[in-house]
Amino acid sequence: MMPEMSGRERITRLVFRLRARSVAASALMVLAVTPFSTAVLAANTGAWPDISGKYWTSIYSAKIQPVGAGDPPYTAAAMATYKKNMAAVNANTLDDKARKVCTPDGVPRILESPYPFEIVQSPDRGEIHIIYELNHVIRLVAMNKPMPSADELETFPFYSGHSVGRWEGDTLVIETAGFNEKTFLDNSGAPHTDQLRTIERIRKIDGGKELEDIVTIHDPGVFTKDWSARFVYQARPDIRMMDYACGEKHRDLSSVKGVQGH
Amino acid sequence: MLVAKSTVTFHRSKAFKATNEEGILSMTTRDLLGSLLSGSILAGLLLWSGGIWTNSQAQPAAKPSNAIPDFSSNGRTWVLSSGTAFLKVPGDTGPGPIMDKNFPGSAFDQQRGGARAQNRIADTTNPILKPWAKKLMDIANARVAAGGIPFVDDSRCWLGGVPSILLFPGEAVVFLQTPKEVWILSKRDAEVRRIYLDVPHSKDPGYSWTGESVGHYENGDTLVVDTIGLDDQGPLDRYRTPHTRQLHVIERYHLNNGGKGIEITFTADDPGAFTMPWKGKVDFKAGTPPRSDHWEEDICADNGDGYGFDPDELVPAPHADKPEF
Repeated sequence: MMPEMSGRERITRLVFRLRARSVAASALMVLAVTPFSTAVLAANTGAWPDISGKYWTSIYSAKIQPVGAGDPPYTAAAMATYKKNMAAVNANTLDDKARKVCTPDGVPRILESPYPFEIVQSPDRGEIHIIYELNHVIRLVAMNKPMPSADELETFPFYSGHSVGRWEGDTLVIETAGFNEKTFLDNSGAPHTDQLRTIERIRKIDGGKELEDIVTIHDPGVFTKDWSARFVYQARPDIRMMDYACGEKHRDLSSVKGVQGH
Repeated sequence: MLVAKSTVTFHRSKAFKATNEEGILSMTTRDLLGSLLSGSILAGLLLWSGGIWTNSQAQPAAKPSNAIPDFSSNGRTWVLSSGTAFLKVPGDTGPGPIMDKNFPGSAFDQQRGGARAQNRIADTTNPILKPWAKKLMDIANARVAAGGIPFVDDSRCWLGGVPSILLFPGEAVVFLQTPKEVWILSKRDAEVRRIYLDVPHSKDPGYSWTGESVGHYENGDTLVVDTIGLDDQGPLDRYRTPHTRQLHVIERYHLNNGGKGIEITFTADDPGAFTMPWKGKVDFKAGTPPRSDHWEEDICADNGDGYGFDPDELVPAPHADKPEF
């Protein structure tokens, strides 16, 4: 039985547990991204690949599809939570603020949005903005900068996390960490923890007609191993981005296969 | 400083004519001579874009008279510095924007030492107001005078319109500039405006919170933004000044103080709500770079009731009764 603790002791213990978890998570993160981290600070010389523009998927799936099919490799406990969430989605009882009050979807959920997004590359090369129409989410990718410290990631967790990026040839590599736990990994209620960390590899394919984003998902809080999902978007220079206000009528999504109830 | 190698000039004589006061937009004459891409302009833009986007070693050309004002480089952020009420434009002989009944002649915040204003009373004797607009504002004034709390669109998580988004206080504003487009991002709830450069307005832009904005640069220090297609959902200032879908706003973002400030003057023309076009202004000051260290998420819906000082009975915060997809 736990001894009685004062409020201060409880807080101290909680902070210690959070810090310990953060340190452990940070160690795992370092291991997970070591192949990339050495390149983060490398100077970005030469021509800058241009992936700017507007993109829109033509296929939507509520459930994120791991490369190679199947379910994400959840631990048994996390899978039980996932099944519970899926049932709640079907009953429209899931506490899903992203769909109800339009908070940001987070990563990787925003990657499966049936709405378009745009990539803006700043002329001074210091950053890239990814602006999603859905819930007017803005992701700022700081280029060639180190990931903020574990303390900062823990102190200021964001829906969309903190992102740093670099170029590897024609591919934009984005590492994101420091997520809050208010989001799901997809629209089927896939859970995650604040140990979530993602690495996206984004490049043009098919002669520039399409954009590919392969996201690797690392979350030892719920997964037995890292796994990846692949998203492909069509380049859409013909469209303009639109405002998005929660609960209002928005653009026609009939061209996006798989969207239900729109 | 970004550098353009060609001159881009707009001439606009008379863009809109209202047909009634119910908000039906009728575009009768568009004189956008010179706004379409001529051969020289296109060549200039291509040269400019090539220099910026593809060659890291490119050196800017000698500064010509038509340099493009740089609101965006080196991680620059901006913040509203003139208070959350529109100011009168120096030298303007017109009546100017709606101001405070109790603190005439200056922005409410400045009179109150910068304190956040909630109980402001609009001076509805301003002759710009049509009778129906004055009546609405008098009703709102009476509610506020009786202790009610006024509606402020961004405090309830609704999108800011134009020009009301200029009054978003506190959080950073960021400009992104490319040869064909300018984005103005407000950190407050991650709001986005897009300005399409050197193109005419669409034939049918529809109506939305931020409308359709087209723009061009002038004199090497100014971005001119012309906005139509603004829906009539929100007030255009914090005195609850209403508008109709006929609202047409022309903003001029003038870089000053050695690049450390922006004076934003605008003309608001809405024959549905106003008796005459009127002018107003705000000032932005440069924040501390780099913005990548300052772009914290600031999600209005995260706060439950938005930014927390409006009663639920006035206007509910945006929400979806069922998931959209």
